[in-house]
Order: sequence, then C-alpha cells, then structure tokens
Amino acid sequence: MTTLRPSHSARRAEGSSGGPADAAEPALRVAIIGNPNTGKTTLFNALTGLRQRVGNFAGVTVERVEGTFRSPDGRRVAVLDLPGSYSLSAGAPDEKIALEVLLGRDPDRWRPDVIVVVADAAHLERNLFLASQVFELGIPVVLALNQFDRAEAEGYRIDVPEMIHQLGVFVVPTVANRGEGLEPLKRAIELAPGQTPPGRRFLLPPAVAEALEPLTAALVAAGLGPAPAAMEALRLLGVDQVESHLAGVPDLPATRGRTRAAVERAGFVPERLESDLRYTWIADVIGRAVTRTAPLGRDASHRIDGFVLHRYLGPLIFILLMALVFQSVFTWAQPLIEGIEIAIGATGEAAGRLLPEGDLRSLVVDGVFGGVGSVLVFLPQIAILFGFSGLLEQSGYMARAAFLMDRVMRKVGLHGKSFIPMLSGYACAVPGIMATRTIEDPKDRLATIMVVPLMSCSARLPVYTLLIGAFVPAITVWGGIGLQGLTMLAMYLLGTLAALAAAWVFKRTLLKGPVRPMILELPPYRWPSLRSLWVSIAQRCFLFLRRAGTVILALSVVLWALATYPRVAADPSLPEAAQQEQQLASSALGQIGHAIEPVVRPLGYDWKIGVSIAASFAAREVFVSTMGTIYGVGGSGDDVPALGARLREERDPRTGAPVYTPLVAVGLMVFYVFALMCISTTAVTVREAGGGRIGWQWAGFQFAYMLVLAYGAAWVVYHGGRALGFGGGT
Amino acid sequence: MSVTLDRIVVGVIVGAALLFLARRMVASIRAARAAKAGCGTGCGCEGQGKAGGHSTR
Repeated sequence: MTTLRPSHSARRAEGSSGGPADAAEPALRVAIIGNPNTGKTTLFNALTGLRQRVGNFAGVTVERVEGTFRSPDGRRVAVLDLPGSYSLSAGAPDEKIALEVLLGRDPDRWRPDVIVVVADAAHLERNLFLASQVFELGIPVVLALNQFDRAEAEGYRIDVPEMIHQLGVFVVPTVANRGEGLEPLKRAIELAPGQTPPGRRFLLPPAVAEALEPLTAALVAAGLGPAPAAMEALRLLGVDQVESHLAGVPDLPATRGRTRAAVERAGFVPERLESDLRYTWIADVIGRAVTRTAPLGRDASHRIDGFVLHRYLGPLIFILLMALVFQSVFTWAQPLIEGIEIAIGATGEAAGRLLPEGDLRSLVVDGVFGGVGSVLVFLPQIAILFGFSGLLEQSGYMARAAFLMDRVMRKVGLHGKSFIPMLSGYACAVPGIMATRTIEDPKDRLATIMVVPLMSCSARLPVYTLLIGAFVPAITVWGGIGLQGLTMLAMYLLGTLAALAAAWVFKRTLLKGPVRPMILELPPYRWPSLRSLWVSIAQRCFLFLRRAGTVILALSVVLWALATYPRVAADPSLPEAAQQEQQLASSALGQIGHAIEPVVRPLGYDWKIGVSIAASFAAREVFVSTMGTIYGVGGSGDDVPALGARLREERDPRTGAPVYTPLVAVGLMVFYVFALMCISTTAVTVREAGGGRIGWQWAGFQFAYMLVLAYGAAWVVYHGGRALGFGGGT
Repeated sequence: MSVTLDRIVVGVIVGAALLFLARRMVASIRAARAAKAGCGTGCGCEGQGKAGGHSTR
C-alpha cells in the first residue's frame, strides 16, 4: 500500500540562532503559520533573535526558515517560519511547502509538536479561516493575535477569554514589532503540548459527514492521521484538482468524484461547502468575542490611498518618489564616497610604502586596493538605496506600487502576483526568482522567472554609478532632481520596461496562457520600524562587503595576475606610462582583450572595456574592479586615484581621442541593463525552472536572449547616437 | 624580500584565489542541480537567515 507518511524522525536544524548549544535536539518543535502579511516573520525574528527579512506586503517569505529560542523553563524550542497562506491548499509552490510540513509530508523537516497560528487581530474574519483548518490537524495550536495595538486603534475590542473559550486553544495578544506579548506566547507554546488538539469546531450536516466517510477512509488508509484526513477530505471537495502531495493515494480522483456527487445529492454545493461552513462558524465566534466601537469610516490609509492610487496622480507620485530616491543616492552619498576614496587611497599608498618594490606590492596596491577598493566606494549608495527601499516596503507603499502596476501587468499577460518578484529583482534576481513560488500557474511563473533578471539589481549600481558619476554632469533639472539621478532612474525604468516587453513576448509565444486576475491585499500604512530598517540596511551592506571581500577580491587577484604576466622587456626609451601601457597590452589580459576587441569594437569599446565586460560575466560589479585593476596596473606610481577621473582622462594612443565619451558610457550602461551576468542567477533559474535538462535549457535560453538584447541595444545606442551627432569615442 | 620569495608569495595568493573561485563555481552548479531548501547558490543573499537559505521576497 502506498504510504503518505514519511519518517517523522526529528532532524537537526540546518542552522539556528543559538550557537553551539543548539547542536542538541530541541525539546519542542513549533511551526509558525498565518495569512500573508500578518507579521509571522517579525514574530519569528522576535522569538529567535534571527534577522529574516520582513516587509509590509504579502509574499515576503517563500521558503521555510528555522531558528530556536529557550522556553521560560529553559528548554530549547525549534521554530519553523512557514510561507504565508490564506488556506491549507497546495496550489502555489509556497503553499505546498506549508501544507507538507503541517501534514508531516516534508522529508526534510520534522512535523511540529505545536502550531502557532499568527492572525492579524484587525482582520480576524479572514484569518480564522486558515486557523480553523489548522485546528483540525490533530496538533496543539496557539493563536497569536498579532498587531493587537492596531486592532485596538481601529476600534476593535477583542474579548480574549471568550476567544479561548470559543476556539479551545491558547490565545495570546502580541505586537511582534515592539516585542510585546512574547513572554506569554513562549509560556503558551511551552504548555500547549499538554493540551488536547482543538479539532473541528463546528458540526458537519449529517448527510455531508456520511458522504465524506469513504474519502476520509481512503486518506487514512494511505497514511494520513484521522484528523488531517478529515480536514483534507472536506478541503478536497472545493479544489479544482487533486494536488501533487496527494498523488500517491490510490483512486483518489474517483473517490473524490463520488463524494462530490453524494454531497450534491444531499443538497449542498461541494465547491462552496467548506467555505460556507467555516465562515458561518467564524461569524459566530466573532459575534461573541469581538466588538467594534469606532465608526467604520475611511481611516487614514484610505485617505492616503485616495491620492496614491489615483488613476493619474498615482503613477506621477510613483515616478517622483523614484526620481527623488535615485537623486538622493547621488547627493547624499557623495561626501561619504569621497571619504572612502581618500581612506582607500591612503591605505593603499601606506601598504605600498611598507612593501618592497616588486610583484607583491603591485598585487596589493593595484590588484587589491585598485580592484576591490573601486567597488567598495559604492557602499554608501547601497546603504541609501536599501534604506529607501526598506522605508517604502515597510510603510506599505510597495503594495500600492504593485496595485498601480497590476493594470500594466495584465496588459502584458502576466499575473499581477508577478510584480512582487519583479520588485524583489531590484535588490537581487535570486530572491526575485525564488519569490515566483507564490505564482500558481507554471507558465506565468516561468515567464516571470525569465524576465526578473532584467530588473536592475544592486550589482549593477556600481557600474551605473561609476559611469554616471564620471560622464553625466551634476546639474539640477527641476526641484532638486538632477540629471544624474534622472539618468539612473532612466536605467531602472529601461530594465523594467524591457522586462514587461519580454513578458509580453513570452506570454504570446512560448508560454501562452490566459491572464489571471490578482487579488491584492492592501495593508494599512505603518510607521517603519527603525530596528527593521537598520537590520535591512546593515544586512545589505554586510552582503555587499562580504561579496567584495570574497568573490570580487579573488577575481581582482586573478585579473591582476592576468594583467601582469607574462612580463615583457619594455622599451626603456619610452616614458614610464607608455612602458606600463606596453606591458599591459602584452599581458595575458591584454592578449585576451585584443582577441575579443573585434567583438566589442562595433559598440565603440576598446579592449580594456571588452575584457572588463568579459570578466564581469561572473558578477557585474567585477566590471568596476577589473577597470580598477587595469588602470592600477597600467598607471604609474603607487597612488590609487578615483577611477572615474582615470576614465575621463583615458585617450586612444593611436588617435588621441577620448576612449570614454558620454555616448560610450550610456551604451555601456544599456548593455548592463540587459545582459545577464550573474552565475548565481543562472544557477537558481536552472533549479526553479524545473531542474535537470529542462532547467538548464531555460537558463541557457535566458542567458542567450538577454545577451542578444544587450548587444543589440548597445549597438543601437552607439550608432544611433553617432548618427545624431553625439561623440562616439574611439 | 628576494625576488624569488616575492614570486612565491604572489603565486600562493593567486593560486588560492583560483581555488576559491573554482569551489564557488562548483557550489553554484551543485546548487542548480540539487533541489534543497534555500538558495545555496552562493549569491550572497542566503546570508539573511541562518537556516536553509534566504526568505526574501
């Protein structure tokens, strides 16, 4: 007989918050589940001390994440943060993750001893639907009424003892972002295993109960416990098709068909039966335990939305906000950038003085300080960009941006849910691609995966900033918004428009399918939590520094070696700078550069740009570090001047014309907008597009179409610009 | 520092860098093949949590 129940042997967490002591088996295992955007991850972070990312919109968590805390009596408690879900269904991949864990069907994770359902206290009606399903799984439950303060501010009065009486579980009011209610919650979790699981809180009509028996029996025979089987049997009446996690149950579609027919004969609508029963029960619970004292008039969020979501004002506000953000990235970061440049330059010079003349000194000064240093100077801009991004996310504005974009998304044939992964792509394409797990339709999901890397990620920021800072004049255009900020905004918009256009093509060719409507929950506006904001900025800066200190450092060292060897005997009659240039041109890097120069020459690039582009196929920022290394090795002396200044001064040795002009810089930026130059993104595309041969094929296609797009667009910019009379460089 | 020693130190540093990059490349390919929890691609995004990768949007 097929069995659905895997081994429930407890597995040690892959990682946790508590250091070496956590190596011990946990005494208690807890899963956190709830509707999207109820503060599950905030609560998880507050309990475990971890720093999972949080946001004020649905779909932030798409993966199960584990941490630990100590209960009041000192026992170790393992906590699993599950993706948000409105009900226990397995339509989307992230919902499947939650359902499989709760049913004990995830071979990589333990089945919990206690389930904490996190409910938004101000929206109990919707949140209790999932809770009522969880009650029936045969596991003790604790209900956390989160955002309790906001519910009270909105006039809700929740009678907690009455809720406990009605639900048969511990009910704990919490305000996770302020850490309120954590101790009572920990105590409730500690006591919950001794409690009887709540079970079904309403009675089925006798005819329905009878009709469900064969279906329940089939699920039990296949290995589900009696309680989860009963929950699944009722749920299966309403789903379109049997989900993959139940694929092993013999004859399930036929048994389900007979059950639905029997339910219909009893006078009920099978598709609506579960929701009718649960919402009737929920209305009764709320009628007894919740009162609302404040008028139901338009609150502050609604008033703000009157402007922010306005048909014409909304998009204008969105564009203005983005322009301000990008301008601030330049204006506010400049003094800090200059400070870091001076510090790196001084440290590089000091290191150069300490080391004797030779290859090691050149490696340290030109390779490490010239390469990594040229990337590190962009740290303030990363911090400012992610500070703004966190502010917009946590305030609830990003959900409004998704709402504004929904109309556009539908026009290109994408599901509205695709916008959240695309927004994530502004930070990094990898989590963006993983966030597509919230999309149920496989074709919509694949189309989104294929276009997410077109959104300008933070790795492109150093490239844009270097070129804009060096070649776009810092002049004010209007109301404090300057040309540099507008150019940056244009690059981000170009990537977004390209992603939408590519999605339009995919949805009409390879991935044809119907357009599905999106149900988007608009969270109320909230004051961002300074702690979460700080955590978000600090994490991004840490990741940037770690990347600079590992991958970029290693690549800089290798590129330095390629730019330095083989040594050639330079012509002593030439000036020192020309000798350095001769050595660079004869190096392995120079030879590679000259070999690929014919490919990049039609775009207006010399061999140094060509080789920097080639090196940056590993990671985009490497373009900047390679430039830093090349101009460090090719320069004379031990000083590490600002790279932008070096680029402006660079002249073609044959013609004496500037190598870099504003037109070349714009063409390069456009190339980086479109090109997929990130091994990590390719790896995650392979996996999320299905893995194996299919995954590699989609990833290969993604890489190829983006490269063709990048080359074509850069060619059009360069030749179009020259035809219009702009300077074209070498 | 003698020229030879200088070259040896440089050779060790460059070799270590190459080894590091090769290992990252292998890790990325393995992450693409294995359907494991979390990102695992070595993109740097996985560092936001400690268990099985990131949960970012």
